[in-house]
Amino acid sequence: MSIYIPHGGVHEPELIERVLAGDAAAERELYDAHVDRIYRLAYRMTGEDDLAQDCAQDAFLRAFERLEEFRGDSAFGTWLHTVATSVILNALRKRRRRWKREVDMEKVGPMGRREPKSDVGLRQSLHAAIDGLPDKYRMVFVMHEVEGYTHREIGSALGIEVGTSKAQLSRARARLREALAVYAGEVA
Amino acid sequence: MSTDDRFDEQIRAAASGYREPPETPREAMWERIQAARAGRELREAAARRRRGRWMRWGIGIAAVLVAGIAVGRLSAPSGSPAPQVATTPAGSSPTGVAATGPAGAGQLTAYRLAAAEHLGRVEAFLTLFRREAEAGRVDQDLRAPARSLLSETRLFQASPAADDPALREVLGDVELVLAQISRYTEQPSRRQDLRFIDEGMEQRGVLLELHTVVTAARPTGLAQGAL
Repeated sequence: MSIYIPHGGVHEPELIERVLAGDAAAERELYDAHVDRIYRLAYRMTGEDDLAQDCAQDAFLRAFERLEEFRGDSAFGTWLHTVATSVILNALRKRRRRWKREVDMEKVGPMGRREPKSDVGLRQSLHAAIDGLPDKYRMVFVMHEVEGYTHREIGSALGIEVGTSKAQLSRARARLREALAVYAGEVA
Repeated sequence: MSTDDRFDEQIRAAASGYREPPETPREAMWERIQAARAGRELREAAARRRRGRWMRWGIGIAAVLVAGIAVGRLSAPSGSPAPQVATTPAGSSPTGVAATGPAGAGQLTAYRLAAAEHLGRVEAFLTLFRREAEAGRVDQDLRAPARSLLSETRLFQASPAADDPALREVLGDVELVLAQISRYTEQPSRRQDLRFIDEGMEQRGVLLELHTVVTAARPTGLAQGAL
């Protein structure tokens, strides 16, 4: 059985040629090689199974439709992540607009300011604080700290410099430290 | 290791469980991707057919406009003054207006006939739009006809047909609805907007208003002096 390494793209140029030639099996192979990472990222960013599935499906639909535009300058996975992150960020923007109409945001309390002093408390507070990060910082944080992407991969997917990715991660961490200051004494 | 580094380490450990995804529903998603692609191909084929149909409508509308203007010009004696229009209280005629003088009456009749024809098409379009909306099928395919009807409506608003208060009112309502639909069809994902359009049409009784004006403008209505 062939092993596809999403970032290595060892077999991908050939696979993509087959997809472009109309080979349905090759299309499925390409999907199988990448769907886990795309869905996981979408789920981590949206926190909703339905929305994560919609994002992942949309990313693949767009990628397959525009496959002829893929010139192979980068790995297919990198290009697919560019499409996927754009789809996810758009979905988050739409959801926020919907929420703004439906929810009185004034009634939502500040996130990450809870008092519990346990690992469970830290974890819950941290997750709430991550939820409260701006989408772009959260995307970088989730990709790097949670899903293990490199800054280079993040930079390619989001269309930013490696240095910008590092800077955004640093700012995200600073915001989280600030939100979780109540736990800092325990760590020190 | 600094306090910040230790804290970052702890954050990293705690973050690993952030929104832990379930197992990837790869089969379900694959099936939907395939279905969406098949559906898109079908919709594209249907859209091509619809575009042809709307194109014929557009040509029809333009032809009616041209014919209306031509009838108006032919029926007006040469060298006659510009039509004099006097409004009468609403309810005195189905369209609430009477033209003074034979020349004015002829020209106005032509404009208003054309406007009534146009409003008939708007009525058909809005009925179709509501049906498509109820079935959740409103998409960008409706954008072209909505924009085309909107442009025609604005032409009529600027024409002598709009001197008739009843026609002016219905043209104003129709213009608003068509503008909303045109905007909506640019971003059809905003289902909330669709509800606003539908409620707006309902509140203003646009379809009933259209139906009344269009019915009044039919030949029997004309014979009774409606136009």
